[in-house]
Amino acid sequence: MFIDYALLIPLLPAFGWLLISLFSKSLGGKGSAWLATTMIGLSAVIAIGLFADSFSSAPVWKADTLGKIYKLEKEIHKLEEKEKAAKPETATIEPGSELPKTEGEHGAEGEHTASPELLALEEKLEEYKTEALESRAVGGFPFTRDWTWLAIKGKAGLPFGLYVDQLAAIMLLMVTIVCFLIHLFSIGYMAHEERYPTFFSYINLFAAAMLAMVLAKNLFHVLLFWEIMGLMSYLLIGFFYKKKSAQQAQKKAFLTVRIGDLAFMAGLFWLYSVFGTLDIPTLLATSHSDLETKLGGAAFGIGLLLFIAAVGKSAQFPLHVWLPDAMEGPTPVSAMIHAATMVAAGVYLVARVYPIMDVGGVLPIIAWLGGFTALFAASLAPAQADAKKIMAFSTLSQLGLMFMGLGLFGYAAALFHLLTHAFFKALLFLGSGSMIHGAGTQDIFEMDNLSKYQKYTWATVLIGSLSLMGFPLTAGFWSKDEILHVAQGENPALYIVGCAVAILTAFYTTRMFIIAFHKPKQVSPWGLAAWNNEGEPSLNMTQAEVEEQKKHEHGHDIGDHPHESGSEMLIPLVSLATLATVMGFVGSPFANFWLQRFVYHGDVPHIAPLESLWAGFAISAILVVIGAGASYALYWNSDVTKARAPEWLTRVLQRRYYIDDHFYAGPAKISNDIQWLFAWFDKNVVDKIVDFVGGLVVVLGDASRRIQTGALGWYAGLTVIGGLALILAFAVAFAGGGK
Amino acid sequence: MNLESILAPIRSFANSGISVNHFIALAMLLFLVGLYGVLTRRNIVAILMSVEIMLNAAMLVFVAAAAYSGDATKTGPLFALFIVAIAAAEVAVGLAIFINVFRSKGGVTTEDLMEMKN
Repeated sequence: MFIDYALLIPLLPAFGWLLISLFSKSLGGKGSAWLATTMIGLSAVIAIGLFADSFSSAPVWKADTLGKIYKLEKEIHKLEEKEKAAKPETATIEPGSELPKTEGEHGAEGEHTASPELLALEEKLEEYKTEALESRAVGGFPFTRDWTWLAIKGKAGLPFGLYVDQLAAIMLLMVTIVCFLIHLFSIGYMAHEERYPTFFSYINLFAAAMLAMVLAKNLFHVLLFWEIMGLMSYLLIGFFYKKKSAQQAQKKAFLTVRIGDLAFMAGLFWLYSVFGTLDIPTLLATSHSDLETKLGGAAFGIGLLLFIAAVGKSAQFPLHVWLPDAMEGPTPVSAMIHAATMVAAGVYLVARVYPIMDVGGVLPIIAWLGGFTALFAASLAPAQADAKKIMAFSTLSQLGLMFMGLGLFGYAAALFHLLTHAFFKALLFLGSGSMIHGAGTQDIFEMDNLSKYQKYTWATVLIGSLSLMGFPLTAGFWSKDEILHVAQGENPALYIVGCAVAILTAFYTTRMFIIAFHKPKQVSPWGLAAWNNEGEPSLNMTQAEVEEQKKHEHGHDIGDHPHESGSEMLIPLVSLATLATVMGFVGSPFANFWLQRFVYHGDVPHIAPLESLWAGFAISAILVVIGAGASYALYWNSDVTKARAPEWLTRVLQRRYYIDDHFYAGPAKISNDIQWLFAWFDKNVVDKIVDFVGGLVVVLGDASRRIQTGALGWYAGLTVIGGLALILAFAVAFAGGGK
Repeated sequence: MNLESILAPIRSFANSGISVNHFIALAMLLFLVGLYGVLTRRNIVAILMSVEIMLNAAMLVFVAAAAYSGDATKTGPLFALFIVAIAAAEVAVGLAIFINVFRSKGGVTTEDLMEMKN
């Protein structure tokens, strides 16, 4: 029933953007802010309703029957292994005799040779599977709505539609709620800013684009709204457009993500030419074997291209360079990019086209790249002094974990982590926003014993940090452990990577927390301007400029007394802290892994039986204690500014392994070197054409201007000439065509 | 007065060897006279008078054609009557405009109205 209003979910914030852009003068700052917040709030209400609808009509796997299925599957697997080992000679003969047959027939042939016991077991498995679905889909789930768009002569060119399945319903719920709270937070946080209404119009459209993308039924529309999001991230990262570094960051973000977008487009074209449609339900409804025959070898290429798109959007290695720089935007924007919108889009895309990834065999690549990014980013965070940069690297690392989970067939685990991560990362960003607002600096070393002044911020950031670390019973604990568990079963090497990430995460989160909240103000050992910007010549600022910028960013001097933020900022913090805790339980053993059972589409979800999880939980808890303990031992009782690592290591980490520099020295330099060519083309060809068209209009206008003399006689004469010409024309026409 | 009583003498006149072509030739002549006046006169009152002459030429063609074709519906003469009514209205409005032009510009020649000199 709420699906009928689902179109409003993206439309309301988009409408808010339109209203604020047109009438920001008469609405005023507060008016615009509350309008934007109301719009996204209404979207959240509809999204909650839609989720409730999906919840009541979606099929859910029964928890206890699943256990039986797993046991049976193990037995079948064992039996199969045995039989394979028993008759290797038949397997070697078969290919020779069946050479002309297609692969599908070959597979079918293979099944016929199975022993009767195996067949019986498989039958039983099918029975269990039907039984295991608690309720079949009812009420037309997954919900779809269609409109024609770009139809030519009744033939639908690109039908626009809505598609709400479990994945979309959960994403909508998460995006609207998190965005609403971020909007609410921004009302107080951005109050000092000059372009207050503009900010709200931007974030409103940003949220609208994300919501429309999640709802889209056609992959082409996913691309469309994906691009709008790219534009909005560009505008928002460069919100402080007077700052050089913000200008650089927005360009960097836009161009880096563009590489992924290009791959996205190529992937879609390829998919369309092979598959014939970009309709998501059709794609999901196609069975694994059908997809294999239809896509053939193209599946790998398509999957890889779409994954590259996700790599760009979700900032995975090597396209991660834009995300830390995106911190130049206002803190609520960072929260939005990191939690609800931008980076979540990449994970969403991979989850959306999961069948292609599966068929094409891209999943191992996703898993390894995700694992690598997770470890890589986590190793960078401990060397940062900027609270927001630390958060940025932690986002990179957590997204890496999600991709790792996706790549290891942990679809449900990865989505669970996406959900919990959205809440606790939004909480952490808004919390660090509150810290920055109170302390007047982003440098954690310069924050003056904030726990004394900011009780609520302290408590909420503590909850967020614990969640990020994966401290037992917090949201992050359940979801991260789920991914680690999947990794443990699928790929031990990546499991070790995941464990290392968990230790590092606990380490740097504790470090940030201790230095920011429990240490007096100190001179930052690194400073925000040092080293970080060495590779970018235009960004070398003097200390005075840095101070000036800080003032501009936070509305008051750094010397100001630290204070707690206002209630407008605290309410979202407390709500997010609550949600970040509660959200973990929907996928925990206490709820029988409800979320995983709900979100999984396709075949049986792989959720481990509880008894095998306790060991994993214990290991997770130990990892957290190791990381946090090391951090505590290093920082709690000592001078935090003291160098703890050799200078070269700090330097390498602060320069982010020099990867950004390679981008500056490589692609950026090449494009700088050949830019004269494009400049020449632009000046001498494009501009010339434009000038010619303009000049032509001027000449023609000047000539026709002379006809208008204003003398009545002249007009009368022209009328007569015109009339005569008309008569003549008629005469000629009738003389020629008449009888 | 009955319309038939107007058309009857014209018809009898026509029967005396004058064809519709003579009427049309006269109307053309009249029309050209009017056109000449419109194109050459500078005083806009004279231009308006010339327009009236052109309207009369048109009326003449209507009436003559109606008479010669034995028009039973009397459409031709009705058109002529309409033209008379419109011409009267036109003169009334036109003269009112001219008076105002005279008041604001101090004259009623076409030069007085010219404001768009290059």
